[in-house]
Amino acid sequence: MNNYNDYYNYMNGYSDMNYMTNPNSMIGDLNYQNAFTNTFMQPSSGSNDILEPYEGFKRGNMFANLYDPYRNYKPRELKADSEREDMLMQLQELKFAMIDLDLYLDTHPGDTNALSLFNNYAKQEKELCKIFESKYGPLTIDGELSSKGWTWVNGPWPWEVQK
Amino acid sequence: MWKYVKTLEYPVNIKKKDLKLAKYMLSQYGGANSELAAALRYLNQRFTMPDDKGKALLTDIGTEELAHVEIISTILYQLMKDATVEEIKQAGLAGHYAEHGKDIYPTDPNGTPFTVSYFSSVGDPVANLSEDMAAEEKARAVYENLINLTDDPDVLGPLLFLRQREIVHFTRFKELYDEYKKKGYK
Repeated sequence: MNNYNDYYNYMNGYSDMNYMTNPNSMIGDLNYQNAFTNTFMQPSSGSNDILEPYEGFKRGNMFANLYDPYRNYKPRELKADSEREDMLMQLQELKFAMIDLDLYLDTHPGDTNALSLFNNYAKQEKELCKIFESKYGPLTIDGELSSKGWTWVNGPWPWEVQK
Repeated sequence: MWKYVKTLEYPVNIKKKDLKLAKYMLSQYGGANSELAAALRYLNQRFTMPDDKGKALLTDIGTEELAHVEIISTILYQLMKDATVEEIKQAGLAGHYAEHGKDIYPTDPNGTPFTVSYFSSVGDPVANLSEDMAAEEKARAVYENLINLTDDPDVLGPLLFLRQREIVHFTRFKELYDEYKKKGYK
């Protein structure tokens, strides 16, 4: 998997999101709030308060019951301006879901529903990461190998403004 | 060991330089209730947790705090990078500039350098965990102060995210604290 079509097919494999039928249409007008309302990511039973990755990511909290907003501030809606940023953001969403479920599972190791959600997101993250890295270079030093030489040094580095 | 991932935990793309805000943001980089203090606190305390659950939770939250240090560093860098010397002087950051140029450096907003005396580690898991819970609450309060000091949506997004993480961390520490209390761990 090393090009955009693979990414496109990968995403279609997990949902039937209409915006994905034309890869060009996703850039600019992609509404993440709708993009992640596919049923694939929903837990089959229990753990009803666990949000979908984008919803949890933008709030900084995967657990609806635990979410505690400050005054009348709403979480920022995140929007990608390029294909790279779009893929990276979906990776960030999945990574965040894993981080928050990890902390929950540390204190609730017997919650099989949360565990299967974690495994599900971990699998998706791994697959998407492979596609991202083959296209844009490694995210970790042991990431997907590139035929283009030593690409680890290439920017953008995370602290650089990306838009 | 740790592995660097070449992405932030939450995106930061600040378009507008703001030196005064950069000065205030130092509280979460090198202040008493900063992300840096949090990371060092948990990563030091994890070694003597009485069971695997505690070792896991302090390792995992300590690791996430390192990612938060990076988010705060990024906010500081982006707020300062295009500043003129005049703007730096006006914001009261001339002292910082004299010592560090436009590098980021862990002090609090008043220029006091970061010190490890901001956290403690007393060899008692219940005492350590109650410090951890207090630290999360204080960091949440500092985030609320910072949110009150800006109206830039590019900064508010990450600040609201980070504030919420304090709430989640507090909850997990409290779950562990309650369990350890019940089990009589000291």
